[in-house]
Amino acid sequence: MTCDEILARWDDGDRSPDVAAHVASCPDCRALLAVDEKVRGWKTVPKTSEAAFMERLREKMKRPAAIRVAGPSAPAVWPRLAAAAVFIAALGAAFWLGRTTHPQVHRKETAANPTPAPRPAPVPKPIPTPLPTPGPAPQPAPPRPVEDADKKEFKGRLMAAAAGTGAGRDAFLSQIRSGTDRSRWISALRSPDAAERSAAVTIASVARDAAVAPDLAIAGARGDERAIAAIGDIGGPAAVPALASLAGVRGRREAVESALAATGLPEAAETLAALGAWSNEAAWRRLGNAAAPAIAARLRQNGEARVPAITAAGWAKAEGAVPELIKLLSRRDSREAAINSLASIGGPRAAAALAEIADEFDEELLKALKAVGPGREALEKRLLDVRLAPTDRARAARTLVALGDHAAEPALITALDSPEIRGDAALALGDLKCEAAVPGISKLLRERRFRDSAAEALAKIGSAKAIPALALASRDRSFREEALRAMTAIRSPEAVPYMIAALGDRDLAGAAIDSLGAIGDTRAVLPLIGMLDSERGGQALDALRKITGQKLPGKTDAWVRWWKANMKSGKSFDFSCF
Amino acid sequence: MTNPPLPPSDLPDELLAGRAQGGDRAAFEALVVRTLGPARAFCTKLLRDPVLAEDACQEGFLKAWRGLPGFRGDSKFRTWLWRIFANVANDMRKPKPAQIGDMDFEAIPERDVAAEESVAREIAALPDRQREVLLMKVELDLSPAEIAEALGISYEAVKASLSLARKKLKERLE
Ligand SMILES: [Zn+2]
Repeated sequence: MTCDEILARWDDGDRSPDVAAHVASCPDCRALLAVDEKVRGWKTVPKTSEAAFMERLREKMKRPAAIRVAGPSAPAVWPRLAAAAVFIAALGAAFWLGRTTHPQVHRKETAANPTPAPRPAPVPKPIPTPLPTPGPAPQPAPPRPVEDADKKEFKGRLMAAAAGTGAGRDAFLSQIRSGTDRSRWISALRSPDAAERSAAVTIASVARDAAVAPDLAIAGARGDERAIAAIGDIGGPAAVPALASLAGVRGRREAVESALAATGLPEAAETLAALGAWSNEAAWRRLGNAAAPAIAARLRQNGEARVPAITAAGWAKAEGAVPELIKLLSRRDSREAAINSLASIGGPRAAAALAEIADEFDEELLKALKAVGPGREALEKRLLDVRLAPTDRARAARTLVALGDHAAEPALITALDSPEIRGDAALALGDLKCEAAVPGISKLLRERRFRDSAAEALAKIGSAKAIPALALASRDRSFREEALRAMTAIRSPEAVPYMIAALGDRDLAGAAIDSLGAIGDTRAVLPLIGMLDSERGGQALDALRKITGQKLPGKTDAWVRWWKANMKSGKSFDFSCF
Repeated sequence: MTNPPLPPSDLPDELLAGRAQGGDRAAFEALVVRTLGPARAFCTKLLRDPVLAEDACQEGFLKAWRGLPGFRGDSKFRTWLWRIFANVANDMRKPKPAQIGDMDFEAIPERDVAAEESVAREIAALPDRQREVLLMKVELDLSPAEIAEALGISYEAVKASLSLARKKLKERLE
């Protein structure tokens, strides 16, 4: 006897000495039976106490049976979140942090929530990265010795140029490129006189002179927000250090972060990262892929910046960080955030990485695959990649079903030709209810290994086109029941003759009677009347009542009388199938 | 709310079922209490959603209560009951089941939560039929012949599904 046969006997309760001795000594059989223990060892936690369950059931038992029992309640958000919170608490709270770094995420309790459940404990906001000790705030340089009269005269010209446009301003701009006017203008940027300083800043943003960044920083420190924005707009190598020097100045932080982002420079991203400005979504979006090196560096380190950096990578759509994000998919504490970021970055590389780990049960991943753009294409590629393990390809098939994208049907039909996964492809097409796949799936009925899957898929698709192939397959005695059952599910009048024929088969009669009752075709009336006196009489009576709507008793002569009176001449009767 | 007095605990299921058929709610409730544990484990592991599983159990027992006149006493009460549960759970199976992450795993130190989670994940990855058959065997303690009857499939198909399910899990959980 083979191990399979031994185990089958064991499962049937056979404990005879030869079976028991084999099971006790064979490592393979023991390992297989150990699986049962592992399944049993997964302890599930009921949602309610036994008393609460009984209470609810008692309420329902009181209601009369005529009232339809409500179906499963709509998925309630809070109980599920609470369940997730319990799970996360069990595994360590770090996992949750990825979500909380989005400052916009304020989940609101839905009013329609039917099931009261404990709210998950509020999750503390991540502690912001402590600021690196900012450089000393820029101090104004000692006033230069300039003649009062000259100073006044320059201030006049400066104010006029700042207020004016056209030729006058152009002339002024060329004068400040060099010489004494340049040093007067730079002094004006540092001036304690707000009006003069403001005019100098206006001129700076028009002159776009990157060299004055440190002086603009002083103007910014003195209270001129436009000066800070100008540093960012003008950019250049001096801009980032100048802005960094302002980061510690009270009340300037927001303007500094925006200006850093406006430079579009990788160094600016590095500074933002060092400042821990992870929640400034707009800044990261503006930096774009320039932020990739700074972000990738944080992703490589196992520091507390890693999780917020993942989110920032998504905001920035930082293509350059994709390889690091892919590595993080295998880490529990960063997986979810990495999935979301890859989804928002998009592109074939991110899609391929998401497709690789996707399965039909992971809703976050499915959402990500939908968002990533070429997600379906990436899955199709895996489905048809013969170098991959069949289990991975089958998983891709099931994930495509879960995506519910009918555009995947051609690829799945192609996969029907692939010997390793044709069964999975058939089931996937069945779940998608793909009528176009009926001929291809019908062919699989000829293959012993796949015919169960094929019959199941055809039943799900429910197309009458499958009836001839199923009828042919049903000639195989060992497959008859499955084929018939699939025909039943299709509920097509075309299946009626086969089911009537099956009434004569002891093993199949029960299923056939039920199918005929369900199909409701009047051709079945007389054959069913013929079953009334058999051991299946009760079942046949149920089916007859369903088909005819008559509530006659289970007496053959009563039904025959009724049939003679009502149906004998009816044209709905066609015995050509016999 | 006081619970009605329960019948003696040593009565066989079938006898209680007979009383319940005569309208004895307490007898039926005693049967529910006896079978609630496996019913919940089965539904939760099959549906992978504790909330849905709870609804399935309610629905299953309610159907049993209303369907009691159909219990003929020629089979074991549990076989009859689990057949109802197999149908209810099948009807409730969602097109997109919940994540394993939605499952509750109790934080008890001596339990290997990670191992249980991987068992849960691998069970979820089984084809529907195999998962169903395996759970009916393990959680509901039904024999292959009883499973075949409950699911309306052949005995051979049950044996094949059970064998495949065990082999897959063995391989993946090693
Ligand atoms: Zn063996």
